[in-house]
Amino acid sequence: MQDFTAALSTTPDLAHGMRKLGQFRAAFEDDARRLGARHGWRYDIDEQALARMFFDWIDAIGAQADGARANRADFTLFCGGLALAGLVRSAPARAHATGRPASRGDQELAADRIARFWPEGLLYVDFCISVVSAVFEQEFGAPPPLDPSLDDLRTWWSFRENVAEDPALAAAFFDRFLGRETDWTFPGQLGMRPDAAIEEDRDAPAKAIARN
Amino acid sequence: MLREISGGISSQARDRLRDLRDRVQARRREEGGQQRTRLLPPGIEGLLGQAASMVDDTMIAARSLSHSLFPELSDEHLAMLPLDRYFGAGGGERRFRHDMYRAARIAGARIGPETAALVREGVLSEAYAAARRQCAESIAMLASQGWGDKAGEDRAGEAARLCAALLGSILATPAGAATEDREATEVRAGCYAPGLLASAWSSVDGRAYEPQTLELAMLAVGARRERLATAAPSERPAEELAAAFHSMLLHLI
Repeated sequence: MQDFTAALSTTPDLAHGMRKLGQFRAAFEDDARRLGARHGWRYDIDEQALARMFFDWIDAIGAQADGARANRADFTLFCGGLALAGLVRSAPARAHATGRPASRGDQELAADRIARFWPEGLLYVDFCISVVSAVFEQEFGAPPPLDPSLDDLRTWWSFRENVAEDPALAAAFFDRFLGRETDWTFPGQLGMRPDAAIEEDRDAPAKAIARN
Repeated sequence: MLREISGGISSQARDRLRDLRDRVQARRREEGGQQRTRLLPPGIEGLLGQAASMVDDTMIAARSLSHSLFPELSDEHLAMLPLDRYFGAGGGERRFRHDMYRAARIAGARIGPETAALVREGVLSEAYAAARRQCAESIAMLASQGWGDKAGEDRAGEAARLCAALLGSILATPAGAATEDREATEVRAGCYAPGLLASAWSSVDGRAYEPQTLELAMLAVGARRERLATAAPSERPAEELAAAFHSMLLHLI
């Protein structure tokens, strides 16, 4: 995730770029290549499903764009959650095992276990968190802190089971992966978010890192 | 000879010749494996068969020759122009028909082989004339000196209006039938809209055409062709089609 985030961070005005189909598609395919090589998978991407997801996501963001003015940092997280829900719903990736990955440390072994459990889900989460982290680095100086539950396979069991029933819940899980409070009843509604009424605090990510 | 008669008539004639070729080729494939009942005396049927084969061979040879003489006009070297070049003072109707027809065939092939019969050069000629009448202001704006100084969103708006007039006219002309269902309209939108969108994209951001332009335009239209097909027969087709093109353009440029 970190190398992909670092690569994205060099893209000028990433938040704007991710709202362009060409850049969004290129970034998603780049992440699929990197992640697949790391965990021993090859991802086939349904380009048309990805494009449909992209425009549906753009429409969903556009309908609630006023939120960007109230709290840009939280709106960025919210957009990431909506993207994750869209990816889970449209399922544009199909993973094929290509062989055992090289030996590695404990953290990567945990990711390998998750990759074996749900390789497509790992790609969707990795992509959304990487993009949001890179946008935070560009706009607020530091990425949002990741929650330890992200490496816990039990969280992924729950994640997969819940979003299979209701893909919109992926947005709520996205907040949880980033250690944020969320609304589990209406995860796609910006106005229902616990942080929706809070004025933007540009130092929030840095403070959160200090707390952890 | 076809060059000397008007664009509309010559494109319709080419559509008819393509239909004829498709039928001859389908007949040849049918005859490949099975015996069939003869309806005419063998001598006459043989003569007709030879004549049909000559038409097919001549059209295949003409297509190969045109691709070798004008490689920039082949599918592999398709180079869409910005909208203002098609609608410029010099008149680019012939090039417009050629490029949009090729783009529609490429986009159609992506959808499925059944689209080949839906793509007609004749409707492009009619759409060109209709757009010239309906969008004189947008056309003048596209070619104006201050075009590049306008905000991207405004440029996208003007280009979207022109695309809407073109696609509105194309979809208002059913392919072969008096009326068509929503699904057929959707497929035709999927064939014709990518070329228009790719050309509009070049107009808005001023970059030269590259193959990825049509590729991304096909994906964008594929994601929104249902919306285009719904907008076309609506009460305000020009506005709704323009809104759909505008939205796609803003997320491509």
